[in-house]
Amino acid sequence: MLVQKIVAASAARIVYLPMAILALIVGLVMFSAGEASAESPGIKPSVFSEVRLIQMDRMPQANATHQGAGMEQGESHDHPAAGSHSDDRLSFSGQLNLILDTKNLEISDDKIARGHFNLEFSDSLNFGGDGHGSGHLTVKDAFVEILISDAFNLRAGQMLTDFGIYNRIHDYGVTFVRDVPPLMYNEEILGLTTGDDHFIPEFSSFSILGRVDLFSGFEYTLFVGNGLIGEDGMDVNREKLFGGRALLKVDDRLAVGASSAYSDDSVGDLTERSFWIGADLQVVCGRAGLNAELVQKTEDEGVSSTRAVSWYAEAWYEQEVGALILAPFAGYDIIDPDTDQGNDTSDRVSAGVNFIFSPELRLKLAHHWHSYTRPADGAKHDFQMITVGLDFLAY
Amino acid sequence: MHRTGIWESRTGIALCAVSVVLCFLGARGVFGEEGLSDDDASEKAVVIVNAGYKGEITKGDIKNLYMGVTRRLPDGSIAEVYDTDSPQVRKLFCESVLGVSESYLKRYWVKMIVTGSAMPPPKLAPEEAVRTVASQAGSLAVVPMALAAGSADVRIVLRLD
Repeated sequence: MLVQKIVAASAARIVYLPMAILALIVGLVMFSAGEASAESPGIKPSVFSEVRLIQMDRMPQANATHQGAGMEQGESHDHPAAGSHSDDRLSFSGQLNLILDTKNLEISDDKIARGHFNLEFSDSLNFGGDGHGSGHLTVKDAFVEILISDAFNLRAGQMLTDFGIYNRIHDYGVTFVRDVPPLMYNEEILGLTTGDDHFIPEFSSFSILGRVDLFSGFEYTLFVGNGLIGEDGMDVNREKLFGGRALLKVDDRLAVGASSAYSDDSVGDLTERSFWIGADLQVVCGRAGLNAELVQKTEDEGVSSTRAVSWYAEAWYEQEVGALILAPFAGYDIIDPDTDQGNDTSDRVSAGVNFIFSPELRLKLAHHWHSYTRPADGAKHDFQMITVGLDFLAY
Repeated sequence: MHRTGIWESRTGIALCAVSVVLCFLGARGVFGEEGLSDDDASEKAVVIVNAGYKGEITKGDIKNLYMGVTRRLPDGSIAEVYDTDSPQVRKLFCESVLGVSESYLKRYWVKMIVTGSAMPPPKLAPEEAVRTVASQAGSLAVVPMALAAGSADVRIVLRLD
């Protein structure tokens, strides 16, 4: 049965195939090039790829128009899951990131310039539905950095906003134990939107950053975003923002961060201001580690305001088993889209294990228990997912 | 309609079986053995800097340079840092100067790369590293002690025992 589903879905959508082949070829070339590429002048490439299989035990019943957990007002999408019956569903998704870094370019006796470019291809196949997937080509980072001193540097271009832990890294499987993003980030899994498109201001365009000697290091970033361009090429006036982040590394084992941002997306008489504040914690204690992040977003729409809160924590323990590192982990996420309304939270408990064959290659197995609330009608849906992820990085 | 629970499904059983097999293979060393024996790692090494740099460089400064925390020497000038491709020297350097395992260091650089923070120092063969540091102002490298003694254009700033 599953083979039939896969064949049917593949016939309906074959976009993933060339991407997977490209990921494989580029990854193998990079891997075989190995250390030789480190010595080449000019641009230094790195490749990151992730292949993920998700099985969901049942698809939540949905109305004709399904509204995701964190969708903004006025936004709605027709999902293939609409009106579907509860049934096991399977998704196969892939992602390839091509990262290009220039070598340090000396522009004066004490100043360096460097560039960083990160292009992401992603696509997915859903089995058991109509094979719908969502292919994307996204520029995650494209910036030039001028290094003036340790305490004062400039970045300009497009970059993932330095807000909290996860946004700067985004969905890089090799650095996180889980292979699904925290609920504060939007991800469409099998037609179900599990997060929020704009809970965190994703991109910024100019930043000042630096580090000073305080404890084991105090790092700061001040950022400005000049907004996003919509699909029609017009300025959608979203994420015009400014904010900052401070990270104190108390010692090699403990880092505490705080982030904040303000955005004014008002257009004409329509007022829309947003304010984000966040705190995060990174602990490494021997073989154990913990990442935790809390974000509160307040939206002011003139006549009303909404406060949303989300946090997550994930903890792991690494144990060497021969040359393999085994990392069992557990995580918890929760998102409350409106703190003034009860009974509208969604949460997720995750548990699993990472098999770390090398720093560049890891296999992730996880089980996720979701308690999902659809804001449109407050309907509750509990469902479970099994995820299998394979992450590969060559540099 | 009868619904099969996710753990009752074949998928759950298959994943459990895969986990057990991978642990067994890992314990048997099928994925390769990292690291070197104590005898292999016994070669003494030093950190050298271009002789044109006259200032002091501490162990902490070297750690910050090799971890990508800073790109500057203590006097503020720009540093060019080179890693070694000698497994013995590298193991000794990681443990005695950086205070981390090679495995940890690799994972550290993965995060630095994907966040666009910095790139790892290029690896050079020991002879090439000595030649490069001798000819390039503000450059550092970690090399076997025996090679460093032969060049007047480099200065030893740290000995690794």
